[in-house]
Amino acid sequence: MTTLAPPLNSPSRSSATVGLVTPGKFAIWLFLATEVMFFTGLIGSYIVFRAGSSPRAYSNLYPPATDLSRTRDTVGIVIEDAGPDPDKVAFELVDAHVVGGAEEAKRLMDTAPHGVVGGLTNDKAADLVHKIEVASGHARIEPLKTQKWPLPYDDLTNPLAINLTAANTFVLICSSVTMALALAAIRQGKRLKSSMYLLATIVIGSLFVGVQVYEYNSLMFVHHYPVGISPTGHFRPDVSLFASCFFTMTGFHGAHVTAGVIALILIFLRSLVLGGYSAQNHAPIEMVGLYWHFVDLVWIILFTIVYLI
Amino acid sequence: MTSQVETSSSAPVGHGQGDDHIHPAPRNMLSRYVFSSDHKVIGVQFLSSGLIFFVIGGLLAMALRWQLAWPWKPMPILSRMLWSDPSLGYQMPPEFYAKLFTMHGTIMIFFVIIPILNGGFGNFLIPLMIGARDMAFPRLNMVSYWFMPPAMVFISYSFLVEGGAPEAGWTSYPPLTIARWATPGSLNGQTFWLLAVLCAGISSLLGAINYLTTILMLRAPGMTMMRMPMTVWGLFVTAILQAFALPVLTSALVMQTLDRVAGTNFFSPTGLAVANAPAVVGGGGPILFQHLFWFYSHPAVYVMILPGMGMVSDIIATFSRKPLFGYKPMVYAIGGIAGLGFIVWGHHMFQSGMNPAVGATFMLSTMMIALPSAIKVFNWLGTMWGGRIQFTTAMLNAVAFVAMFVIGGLSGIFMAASPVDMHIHDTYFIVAHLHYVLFGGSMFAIFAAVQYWFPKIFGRMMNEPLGKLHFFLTFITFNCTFYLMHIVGMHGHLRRIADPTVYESLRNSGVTNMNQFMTYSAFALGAAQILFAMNFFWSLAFGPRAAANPWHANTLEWETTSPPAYYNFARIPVVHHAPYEYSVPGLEVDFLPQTKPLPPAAMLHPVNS
Amino acid sequence: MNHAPDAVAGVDHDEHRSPYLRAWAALAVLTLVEYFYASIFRDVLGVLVIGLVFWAAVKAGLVGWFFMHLNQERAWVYLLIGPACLLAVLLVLAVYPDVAMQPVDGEAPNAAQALKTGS
Ligand code: HEM
Ligand SMILES: [Cu+2]
Repeated sequence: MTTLAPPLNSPSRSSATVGLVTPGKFAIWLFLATEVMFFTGLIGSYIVFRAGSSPRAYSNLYPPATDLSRTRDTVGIVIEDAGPDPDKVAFELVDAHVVGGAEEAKRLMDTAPHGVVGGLTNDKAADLVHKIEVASGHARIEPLKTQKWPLPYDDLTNPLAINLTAANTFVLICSSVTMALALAAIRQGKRLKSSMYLLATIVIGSLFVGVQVYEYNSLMFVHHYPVGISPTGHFRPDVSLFASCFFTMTGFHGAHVTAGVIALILIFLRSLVLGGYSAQNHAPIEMVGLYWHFVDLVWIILFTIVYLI
Repeated sequence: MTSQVETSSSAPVGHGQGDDHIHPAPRNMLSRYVFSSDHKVIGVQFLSSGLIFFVIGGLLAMALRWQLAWPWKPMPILSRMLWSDPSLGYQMPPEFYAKLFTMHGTIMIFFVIIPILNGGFGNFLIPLMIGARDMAFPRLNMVSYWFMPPAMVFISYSFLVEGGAPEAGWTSYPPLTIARWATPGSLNGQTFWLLAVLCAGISSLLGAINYLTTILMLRAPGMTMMRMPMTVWGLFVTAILQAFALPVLTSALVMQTLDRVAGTNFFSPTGLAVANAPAVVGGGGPILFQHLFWFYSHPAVYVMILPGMGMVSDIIATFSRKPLFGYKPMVYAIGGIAGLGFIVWGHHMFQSGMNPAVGATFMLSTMMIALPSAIKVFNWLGTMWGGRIQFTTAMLNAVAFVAMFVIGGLSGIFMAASPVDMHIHDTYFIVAHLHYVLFGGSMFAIFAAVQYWFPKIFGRMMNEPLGKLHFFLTFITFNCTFYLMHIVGMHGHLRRIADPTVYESLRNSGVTNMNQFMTYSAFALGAAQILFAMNFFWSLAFGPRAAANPWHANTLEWETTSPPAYYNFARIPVVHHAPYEYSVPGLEVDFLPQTKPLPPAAMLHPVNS
Repeated sequence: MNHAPDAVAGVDHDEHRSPYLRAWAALAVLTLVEYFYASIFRDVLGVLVIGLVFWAAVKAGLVGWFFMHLNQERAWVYLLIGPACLLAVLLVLAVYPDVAMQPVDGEAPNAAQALKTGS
């Protein structure tokens, strides 16, 4: 069949193709090389954008990419607690004309403990903090702080949930090991065991996708974030360059994982059929495995540079 | 790839699909000719859809030339149909001119040259020339072709959407392309352009994976890498370029698409607002798109020329009845061009305000490409030198390729010097350059290849006199059309402008007369292609039946019937030597197919032994 | 390469599984390491980037080496992946000066301002 593989009848062919080259394996590795280039386009863009972003592109008090040249002396307040009666605090904000209207004030109450109102003078901020205390809420004065890029753990500019995603990273790593074990099992001819490991990989992989979907949902629809993250309160692809990069990179990664889960489901079903795979014949498991580990590898890099740096 | 070469040449070389196991052709017409996984059928599909788009792209060019020669003069008939609105008064609107050159460039590059050379000839020739029964992955091959029809539908449909076809040029630079209100064409047409090019790209990428695997894995016994015909080498290196550069373009197109449909900010500067549309957040970099685009599209110009170089090498050797001069240097030169091709993309961006240190680096690497290019040219000349040249139509086109590539390559060196480029960037000089390499180069290679392999593909010979007439008319009118572009370009005639007469310096009779002369020549060039179409269809139906090896060539595809059977070879051939053993001293015939062992009496050419 | 898994049919399967499980344990530990490293050095960008990129590279290497069997594959795999990685680095490096080293907005106007007031 191939140039480098031993002839069909030789005993050493009887099992895995690890270390040997078949057209399928060559093609999958080549495909992975093209994937490397594709993700280079996305991740490389992220790297240069992040490094080249203006030092005043993000701030704790204004939406991303606001022109801050005339707002340098302003401060803001952070409403840390809306108190037992948020409506009262909201009323104070409307009364002081620092928000667009009752609607916006209400939304700000949801954002606590990170309800940011920017663009205030020092006096006005102090006055407002006082009024909020009287309305039995709690707020603090926040000086304007600009930065090049949303930093991890900075709740006023970065909405990403690091703890959840760190756990999710571990989930994906687990799915990689079950995948490797599925291949190891079929190589020893343990068909049932291999199928079970495949099933485990599907379940764990789906769990990863599920957590991603959950995270997307809370970022885009459920949560209200402070203005430094998004002017609308929702973190969506259009609100900042950071958001664009985040959604595109993790979105394409998520699509790859989803495609991997579908491929896994197909080979899992086939593995249940008698004679589906055997110690001699299991190339699809090996190939889907390679793809799956690659996707895991990309996630390791994405998690590090998008969430942690 | 060298160690690959070594291993495979020392190991016993395997071959196509299972020993001499012949699969019957599918009987169902649909799966035999439409959804076919036969590389020959797929090749013909790519070839024919490419030729259809060649007609469309050519017609667009005629309209472009009309406007340049006689700005705003209504075109006969067409203008009455398209612009009868009194406010237009039969005049072509300026943005329509922009649509024309955008679509002309896009169609010619992504829908004609790349699909014909790689999809068409690549598919048809690779398995035949390496002695395989089919591609490594026939069904993937089919999928690769079937990404093209959606691409064609998208690109054609973009004319019909509100706002019409895109207007940002085939290079699709932002912010013009991402600000939806920048031009009528960026309203909707650009989105369809992006989808079309994405689909065409996926098609090429799948093809490239298939070609590389096939060439490395399915060679016939004895067909070592260094015994492969240059055509296969050209296609092999092209596939490497596609595999490693195309994904980057894909990512850039994806980001541009998202900028348009999902409001992302990749390529919009901070606070970009166009035509009173609300400002976007921005913060991204328009320049980044140029980098990513040219990271692919410079290698892509080699994607458009390397297969042609390979095919022309084979044709010239065949019709010179001499071994290809310097086979190994030719292979290394292709490799060198491809390797350097990855690090020169910045020469398209000298005027983008790029960092001068980066510019100087790109200038140096670009000039280095002249070296391997020159090696190739001299080796073609060396092949012809002292040969018993048979001036068939294919040979004439191949020789024209060499000559035109020299002119195009030399103008390339001009522009590679960034100070010179400052003067000629974005002028007709660039247009002259790119047409000398793409029409003079790639298209002549396609004409040569069609004429040469037509008997193998369709089993009939093409008409020689008609072919020669087509060649001479094309060659003369081509030069009349494009040579003068160097001159007007040097004179400051910008490209991509609908009306040169708005500039004082272009309003003189010299420029106007040259523009009109070029237009007349272009019409003649267009008309000459009718001869090609006539020859093609007439020969398809009535051409004399072709023998298996009408040109007395050595490569494997001529060792099977014309056209080849579904399974290509009744027995997988065994290869004994390099493909260029022509006029071997001591032999009665002047060719020695790769399947024939070298007779003991024969002496090999020193270059090829 | 020296240890083709199928050649060891008789070996007890714990032995067989253990490299995967050990790699998995290492990855788990490294994920924790990254997590704490990131929270400790969150304000020191240089240290943060260098350290995290290092940890990520080690993790990626583990996945490639053990799970993708790079430890058993031959040179041809590296011939595919090597050039891709090289080009990836090259692309980012070449784009870096143009996109990441642009003059910072605000700086130029200020400079112009300074010139004006100076003259
Ligand atoms: C001898 C080697 C070559 C050199 C040194 C060279 C150099 C250049 C340079 C410097 C430019 C940019 C000019 C500018 O925009 O200011 C350019 C443009 C171009 N080249 Fe070449 N080139 C070479 C060969 C080729 C080949 C073989 C092809 C295609 C088969 C090609 C196709 C093009 C195209 C299409 C453009 C215009 C791109 C656009 O639309 O802006 N070139 N070339
Ligand atoms: Cu170029």
